[in-house]
Amino acid sequence: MRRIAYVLGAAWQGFWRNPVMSIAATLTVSLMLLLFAFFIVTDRGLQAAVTALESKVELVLYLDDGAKPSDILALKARIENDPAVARVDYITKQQALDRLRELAQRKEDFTLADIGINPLPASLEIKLANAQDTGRLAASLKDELGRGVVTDVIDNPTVVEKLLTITRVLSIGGVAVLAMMLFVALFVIVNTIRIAVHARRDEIEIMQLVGATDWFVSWPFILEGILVGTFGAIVALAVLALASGPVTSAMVGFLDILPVSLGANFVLELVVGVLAFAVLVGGFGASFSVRSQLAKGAHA
Amino acid sequence: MIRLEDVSKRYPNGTAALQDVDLTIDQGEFAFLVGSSGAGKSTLIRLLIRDELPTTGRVIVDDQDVATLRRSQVPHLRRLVGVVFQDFKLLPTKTVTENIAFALLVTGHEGHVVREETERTLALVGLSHRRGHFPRELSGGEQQRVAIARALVNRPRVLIADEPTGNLDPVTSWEIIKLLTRVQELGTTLVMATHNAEIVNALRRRVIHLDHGAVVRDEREGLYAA
Repeated sequence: MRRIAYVLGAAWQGFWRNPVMSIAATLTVSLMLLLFAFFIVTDRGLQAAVTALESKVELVLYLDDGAKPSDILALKARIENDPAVARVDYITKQQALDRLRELAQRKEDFTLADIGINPLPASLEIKLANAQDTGRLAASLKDELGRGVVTDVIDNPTVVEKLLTITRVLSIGGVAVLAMMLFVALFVIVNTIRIAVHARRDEIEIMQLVGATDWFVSWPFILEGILVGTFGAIVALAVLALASGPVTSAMVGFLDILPVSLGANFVLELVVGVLAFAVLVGGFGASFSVRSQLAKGAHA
Repeated sequence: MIRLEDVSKRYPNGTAALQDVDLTIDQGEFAFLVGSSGAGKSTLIRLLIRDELPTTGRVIVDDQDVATLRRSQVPHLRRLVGVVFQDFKLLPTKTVTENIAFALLVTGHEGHVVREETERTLALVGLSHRRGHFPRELSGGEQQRVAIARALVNRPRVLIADEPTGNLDPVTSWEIIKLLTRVQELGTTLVMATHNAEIVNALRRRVIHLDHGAVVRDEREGLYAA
């Protein structure tokens, strides 16, 4: 108990002994954590968007009005056998027209005249298990053109592909930026602790002389690093909490097709993740710094 | 208690600080280390607290070869061997009591032990009335007594004093020597490096004379010079 009280007290004093340096380190860590959090939120949001879009993605085969139902069903069965395909729906001409009417009722600026005959073709709507297979499947289905059943293959994977590209770029770019920020944060923490160790070198010398263990000498500094990390996390999370409202509404306005809801679980994960990351970075940086300093100072 | 077997110490710059030193100092003994500056006294002391490692030979303190101690065992050696320096090495922002209690705090003692042992040691060195003062408010002799108290508060079996009177006037020096003799009489092994001929000659204790890193004289009731 006594030891823990001593170590905690020394860490707290150490943090405030050089407030400018400690606060600079804390803010650097905050900045890194904000990037980290932003990266996670964006990545999660885009992943949710991709998942949402993937479930909607369809290849549509327009069918010849004169195609025989048996040929259509045979084609449908063949497509369903492809492992990349989740579901195939047969939409008749009448169903297609009903959909158009329903759509017309919802859109005020769109009126449907009574057109007498139904110009819409019947179709097969294909839902894919994995959006990345769209291109391949569409290419293979184009072979059906001109065989009297399929008149057109509508393949509209662009949105998903763009989103996948954005996710990939963000993942790589995010990791690169995060790595740089991590390096800067570690550098600042290592230096903060180095200065703290230097400021207390007389005390450390005496501690080692009277037989204090390495644990006792190092832990106040490691805790000081963890303190920097924790304060950094609190600042970063506070900024996130303040910014989340406006940012979310801006995002929803921008990507309004996307039903992106991250949920309370995600918020908890994010808070725990950011805190854990901060504590790790602070503790690791400080422990590296204090170890190298102690190794330099003593032959013991 | 202390045994050096064929110990040599050569620093990376080539200086041979100790050469083939063989020594035994028994539990409870009082030994002076004498010799001119650079004779190897400080190196010998640093080997005993494992501040340096011998280049060859074995340094044995309390039946342990200090060179083979793991890093985690070094603190236990340091608690066995108290050290006092010429420049006191007190913490200026801590009071007398805090300076002494510090040695117990950082070795993980409980609060009541820290209080009791600090009081006991303060009384032993005769500074109970100065407990709340800061080092800068004390005379040199008083500061050295605080340093001795700090070295003793963990109840070491050996006390090493490296020129403890080097910065003190003759009267104060005698006070410190009286205190150290008393500590030795209470059972602590005492090794003291000194240039003070008057003290060595008056006490007539064991004298180990180092010259260019070698033991050139080792007498039971010796004088400063042969």
